[in-house]
Amino acid sequence: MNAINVLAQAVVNGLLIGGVYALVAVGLNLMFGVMKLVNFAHGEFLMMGMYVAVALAGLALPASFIGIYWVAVPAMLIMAVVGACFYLLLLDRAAKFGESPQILLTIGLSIGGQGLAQVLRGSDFKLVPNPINGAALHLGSIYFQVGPAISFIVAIAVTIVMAWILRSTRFGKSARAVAESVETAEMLGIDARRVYMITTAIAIGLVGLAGALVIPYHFTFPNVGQNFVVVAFLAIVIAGLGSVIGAVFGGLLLGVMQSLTAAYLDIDLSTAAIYVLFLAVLLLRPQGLFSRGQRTL
Amino acid sequence: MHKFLAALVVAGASVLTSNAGSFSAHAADQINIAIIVPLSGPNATVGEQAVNAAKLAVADVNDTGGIKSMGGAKLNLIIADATNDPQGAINTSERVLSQNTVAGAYGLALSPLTTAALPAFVKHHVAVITSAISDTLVTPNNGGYLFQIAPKGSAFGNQQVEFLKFLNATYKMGISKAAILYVNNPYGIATKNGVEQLAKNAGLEIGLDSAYPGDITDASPLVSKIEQSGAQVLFPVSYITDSSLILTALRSANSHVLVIGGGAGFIWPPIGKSLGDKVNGLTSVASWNLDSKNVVADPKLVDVTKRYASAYGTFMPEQAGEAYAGISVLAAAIEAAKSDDPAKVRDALATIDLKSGGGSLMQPGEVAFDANGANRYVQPVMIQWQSGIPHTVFPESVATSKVVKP
Repeated sequence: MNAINVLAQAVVNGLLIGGVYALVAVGLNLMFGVMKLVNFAHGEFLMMGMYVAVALAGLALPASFIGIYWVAVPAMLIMAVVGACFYLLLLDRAAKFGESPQILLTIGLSIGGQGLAQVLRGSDFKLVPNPINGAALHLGSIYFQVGPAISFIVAIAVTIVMAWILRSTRFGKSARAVAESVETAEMLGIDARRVYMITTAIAIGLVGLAGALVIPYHFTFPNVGQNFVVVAFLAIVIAGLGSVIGAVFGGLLLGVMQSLTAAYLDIDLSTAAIYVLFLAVLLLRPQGLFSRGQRTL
Repeated sequence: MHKFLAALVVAGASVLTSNAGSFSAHAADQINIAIIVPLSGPNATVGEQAVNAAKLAVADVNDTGGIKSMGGAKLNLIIADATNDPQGAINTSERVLSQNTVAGAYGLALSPLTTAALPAFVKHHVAVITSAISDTLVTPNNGGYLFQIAPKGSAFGNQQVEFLKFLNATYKMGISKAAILYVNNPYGIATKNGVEQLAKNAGLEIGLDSAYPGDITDASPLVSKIEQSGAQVLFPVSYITDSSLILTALRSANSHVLVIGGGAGFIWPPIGKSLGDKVNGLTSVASWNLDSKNVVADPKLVDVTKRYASAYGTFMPEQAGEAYAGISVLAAAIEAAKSDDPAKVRDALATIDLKSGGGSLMQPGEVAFDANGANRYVQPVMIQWQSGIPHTVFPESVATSKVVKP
């Protein structure tokens, strides 16, 4: 491989895995932007989404492109319902006691969720055999892994749709109003609890979609969420807390940074590099790279 | 609301501790033995495989008359979660050993956990048979209560390099440049050190020698480095998720590099299930395999592997084979000691020399421990996935299948 190819392949690899990080980060940042809530159980909802998708994929259709991807929409919808229930049954009740119980609740769910998954589904690693795993499109000497490429495309599509929803729909305008000031929004007749419920449903639905898109090429197991969500957390802080579009740029940026570090410095430093960037952003631009210092959604 | 939150906390706590508890029903006609392995966290599969096989071994001992030298006393298996971190392993070991009268123990499985918890076994004078492979476990200063049933970590690298030399000689593959990728933890580093030195001694040029973080979500950057290095053979030391990601990325890149896996993730059932037919041809070193010569030569041992497959829906994997053999060796030591006094069981283990029974499941069919607790006879084997199952293909002394040119 010549120098140009090495650089091009590193950027492609980084963008594709960055798309997965972005898809996970969007829901996380949406919840923070609207509800001011850091959902520490986001990784466990990703894990749950993956288990739902694996279960659906094993239902009927044979191992094929459609057989592995048809589950994405039902998994997203199921997880959206889970998200709505999560808000109505837990977050809404905990909110009466302030923000701290909500955060503690998500931490508890994160720990308990892994244990519960192990009890219910076992600790085994599950991956549905499918033609996507290992498939690639080759452009000269550069290759694009099909699974991550689909995740990347969906991440971009989701960002566009979310940007449209937040800017142009009644719900989006309500969400932005609640994000600015919940008291003022309620005085104007906006039902903040309804906005919170829909926001949670969308956020958990999106992470369910991410889970469904990951299962063709990544094992599903009780701790799998942590592998993705830690980078997603870093992405939203680096990009700017609360910004949905920033979350996507943050995910892509970290993916490319990991890949370039592996290519030009040391593979073992690829994770350390994003923590260095994280610290640098906290020191030099604490509001995030893509934030103007205010909540943007 | 308060009641609701309290119930949630209690439910969460019960989930967290469900695997951490130990249970025993000590009775006069029962002998307690413990299995302490990771049953939670990312290595829980290792523990589950071991526990499944241990239950089978205990049932086999009890169903064939129990410990005959003690009037047919039955074995009672105490199962405990070593968790995934060394402090958890220490806490669990201390609790199990202080709250129960235990004749002996099996487990801990991972070298960091075993190293951390070993002082607890020495303190309580209870012997532990382990499948952890670190060379540093079997040294003169280990306290004398550890018995390593698996091959030493350094032996794995030797077998991988010998296998490559065999492939080069048999198939004229002309492989002269290697890449070594290893997960950055004690297991990865210990195994990598063995491979690296032996590969150099064998005249191989090392084109890439790199650690990688254990939580990778994409192996494409690793594969790019392999391709850049010009290596013809890859020695990866990886767990199951990274093994899968590496193999997937190699296929995506249309790479023709020969993979000689470092055990662990390359031989567990999920890798075969996930890759389907594409797993066939993959080779790896293993500390045990279900069709080594000593196993297929004994119908009772073949029956053990068949019953495991029937009970758990998968072929008997490495950790399960070691656990069945380990529990059988422990039972044989109790039989020889004619006592459940852990000190006497430990002395019996130190002098045991088994050539039959469940312990002979370990290749080459014989188990005895040296003064440091290392298994005198055991050597790793090389496996190749054929028809969706790992087959033993090297060395010839234990191989039952011919290697198919990778």
